[in-house]
Amino acid sequence: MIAGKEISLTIDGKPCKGALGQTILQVAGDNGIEIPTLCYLKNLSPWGGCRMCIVEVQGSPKVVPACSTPATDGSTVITNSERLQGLRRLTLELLFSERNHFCPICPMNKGDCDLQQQAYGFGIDSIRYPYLYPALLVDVSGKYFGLDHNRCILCTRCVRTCDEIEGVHTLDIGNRGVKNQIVVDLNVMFGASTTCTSCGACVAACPTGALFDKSAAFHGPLSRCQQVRTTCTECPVGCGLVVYTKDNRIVDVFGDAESTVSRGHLCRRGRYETWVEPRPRILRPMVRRDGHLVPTSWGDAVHTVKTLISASNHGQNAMLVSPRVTNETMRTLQKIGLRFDHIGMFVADKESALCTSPEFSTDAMKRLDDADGMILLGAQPSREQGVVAAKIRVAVRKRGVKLVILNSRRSDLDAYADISAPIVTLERKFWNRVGEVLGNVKRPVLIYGAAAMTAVGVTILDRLTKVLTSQCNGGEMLAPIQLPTSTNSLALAAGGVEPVEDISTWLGVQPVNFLYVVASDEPDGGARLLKEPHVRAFLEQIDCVVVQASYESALTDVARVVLPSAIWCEKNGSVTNFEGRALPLRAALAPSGEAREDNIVLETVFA
Amino acid sequence: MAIGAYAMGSNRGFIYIRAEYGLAVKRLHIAIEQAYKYGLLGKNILEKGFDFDVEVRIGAGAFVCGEETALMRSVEGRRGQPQPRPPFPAQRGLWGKPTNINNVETWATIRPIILRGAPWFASIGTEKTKGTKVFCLAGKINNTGVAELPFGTTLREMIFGVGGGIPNGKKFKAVQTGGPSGGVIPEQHLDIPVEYESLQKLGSIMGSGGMVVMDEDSCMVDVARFFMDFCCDESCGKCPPCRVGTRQMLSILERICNGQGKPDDIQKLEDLAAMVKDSSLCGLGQTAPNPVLTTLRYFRDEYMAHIVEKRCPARVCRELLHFEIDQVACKGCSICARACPVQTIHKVDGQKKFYITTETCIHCGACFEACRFDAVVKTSPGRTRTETPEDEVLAGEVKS
Repeated sequence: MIAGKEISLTIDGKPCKGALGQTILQVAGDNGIEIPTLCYLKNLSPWGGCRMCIVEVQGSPKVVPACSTPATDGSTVITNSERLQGLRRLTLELLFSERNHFCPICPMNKGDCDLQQQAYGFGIDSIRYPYLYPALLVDVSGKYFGLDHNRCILCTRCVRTCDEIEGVHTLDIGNRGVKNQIVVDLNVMFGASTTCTSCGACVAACPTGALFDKSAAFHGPLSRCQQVRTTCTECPVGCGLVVYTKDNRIVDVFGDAESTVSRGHLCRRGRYETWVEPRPRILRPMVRRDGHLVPTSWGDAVHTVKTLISASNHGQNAMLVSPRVTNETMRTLQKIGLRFDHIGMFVADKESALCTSPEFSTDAMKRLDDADGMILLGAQPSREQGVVAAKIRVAVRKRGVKLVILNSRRSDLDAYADISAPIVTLERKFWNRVGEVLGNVKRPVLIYGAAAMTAVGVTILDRLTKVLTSQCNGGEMLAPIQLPTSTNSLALAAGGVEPVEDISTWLGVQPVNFLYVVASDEPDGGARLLKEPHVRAFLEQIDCVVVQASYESALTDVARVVLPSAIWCEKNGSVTNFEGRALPLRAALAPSGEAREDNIVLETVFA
Repeated sequence: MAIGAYAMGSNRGFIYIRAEYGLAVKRLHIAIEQAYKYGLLGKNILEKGFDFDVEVRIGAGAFVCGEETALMRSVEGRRGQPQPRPPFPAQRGLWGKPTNINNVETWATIRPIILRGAPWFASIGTEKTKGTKVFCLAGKINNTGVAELPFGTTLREMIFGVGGGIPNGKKFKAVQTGGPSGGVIPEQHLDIPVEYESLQKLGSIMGSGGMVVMDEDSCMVDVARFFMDFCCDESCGKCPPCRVGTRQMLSILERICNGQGKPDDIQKLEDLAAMVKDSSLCGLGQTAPNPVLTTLRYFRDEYMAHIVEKRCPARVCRELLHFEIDQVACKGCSICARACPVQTIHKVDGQKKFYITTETCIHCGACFEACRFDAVVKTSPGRTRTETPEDEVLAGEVKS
């Protein structure tokens, strides 16, 4: 049997071409024949449970599920006979009779519910069997989403997503038969789960209103929202987002299945934190008068900034930029750079070393799928780059990939690792064990983060290279993957912006008496600049700080002028992810208040 | 298994057995230990350079784990739920490896076949089904127990020959073959030779080889309800036809047994049964409607009696019973009054006799069991007039 060999079969009398190894459902779909499904979801293993996709194959007296049955050459398949339609209709009726599927009071009413759509398709307006209606729990103890067991049809799309995409297997099925229920961990409330990462993939997978985003519930159907495809700017992975908006506010955010980077998966940060967490926005330009920040017009604010610049001594102007700004903003910076004596971007701890020789890891996500051994050095994907962490978990659990974690902070990934050493020793015994674990690995990949760029990190790397070259027989080392934590830091560094890690030293080296901070939509408003008390004291002393930010913070307290900046969903342009792909940002909302995009603000101020 | 494994080139075997069968588990462990001691299992068996290890895996009390794909998942330590086939176990079974899975009974026939040859084995049984089968005779039968009989033996030979007939001079009514999801076969078909095809034609299955014999005191609607209750309880819940379909069929059967059956219930049952049989994922769901379908086929009149006349001919369904005390037979011993849990049996004024107040009687049958003089009479008279408000409404509609 050669997978991929062309086969031909007849579906509903139509001659269809497919490839060996494809299921009947796939071949039918490719040939424009639609078969109803409920438990099937692309990218998940077939379940064959819902019995909606049943088809007749000539020569077999029994109906077979199209989602799991391989298409065979020369077979004849019928997908819509009267018998099949009758069986499907009854299956739907039984599902409706099983639990509370009263549509008018469901958050997925009017178009977001697969079950409802199927019922419409079959013209079901009443059911022949009594409602069983068990009174089941509505679990809203989770932070971002709720689980209403009364709406669940037990298709296990959430269970499989949690297991096969996020890789944590928080969800499974408990009990038997009609008492079946989705269980979280060992039957605890969602809020008490110790394994759930709140990635929200289960919610996206749910065909009914059983799993629903709390913030999106009862805000109207998604089908009536505007959809904008953009890119998540929370970390350098650059996952694709679909932002659903209505009346210039976000209704929900889902992963973009067409994204070549993430294929629809997201982590908690991109899925929820950006829009569910309350953050005080700066909506108007403000100028400090008599010690207080007073809202003012753009004209006045820009005038004040210009006055401040011309008043400052030549050679003492500095600018600090957030690594979250777009490539377009970077180009504007390059244009106006001459006006400043020093331009730096404030990156995360130890990240400046990554940025001094910025390297993009081409096709990193694909290489993670191909690797059979992973070495994580000085990186914390489960905190910083959740989608990468999900890939690692799935690789270990589903493909038996060997995982060695060195010199990284403790995280849930440790439980999946063959070796996990937050503090690495140089003992021979330890390195022999590393060699043993990676002994049979053919395509190891090294994933390293900022913490790898220290003296300790370099020593470990040196040792690791020796072990790999001596023990990995015949294997080819895949190119290492550099995993920064700041969104666009590599592109900015490549564009010539100097990475600044230690603000106080940077400010100390040069005489600065005017500082312009582009904090953009940093969630903390750029407050981390003031981590060291004397930086704050210094900025208060020069009293000539302009802050361009989206959120109020301690930084705005020391600013003379505050300019409102657009946030992630209000930006156009592009960012470059850690693979070196330029990914588009498309504004889903008009900027709130008088906020403007970073590059427009800069162009206005420095025109 | 070792012989089979040698032929297939397999080095690992599992025996899956329910935890409930404690004695069997114990004996199996002893047998395996002995086999290792004799060198029939383990490394280099009989100096042939062939290694084979057998491990016992204990089930966690699920009927569905008899289904091969569910069984394999259970062996792997996962939730016992069936998987659609293909892939078949021989393509991708335990932990994704090609797996040969057979019943103990099948393995047990290998040794005699090797010793005496295939023609000998093929000489036993019928034209289509060769060999013997272990049957488990249970229910209203004199000789209960396990019997190995050649295929082709008739049901009558099994029940009245080996089984020794029905106890207490009662009349034979039906036999259910193949376990809880097998069909019920009435007297007129007792002379068919037992083989896979013939049973299937009658709407039943060979299944486990179980034979539950029922006498005239069995209500066939109640029997269907009982087995549906079992299947509903044992459904794994993976596919809606089996998960919800068995529950809905059970509701209808319970309704009929309680005397609340509606005229279209038989139609609903038939529709559901056909659908559950047709579209369920695994053998459990595909066979679960068998008791309903066969009782409907052979004992439809009993259903009608329940639904239309509100009468249980076998006097089993509690709600349809009526208890009375035969004033002539009653000796006034008061044991019935003392057995009654709701104190609805009282002394007839001035006499040494007892009577039952029908209005408060809960039809539990405690008096019937208690009476030593057969003075308590159990009947199922049915209803001659409309009694429930629902029926009255129905009647009113018909009139207008």
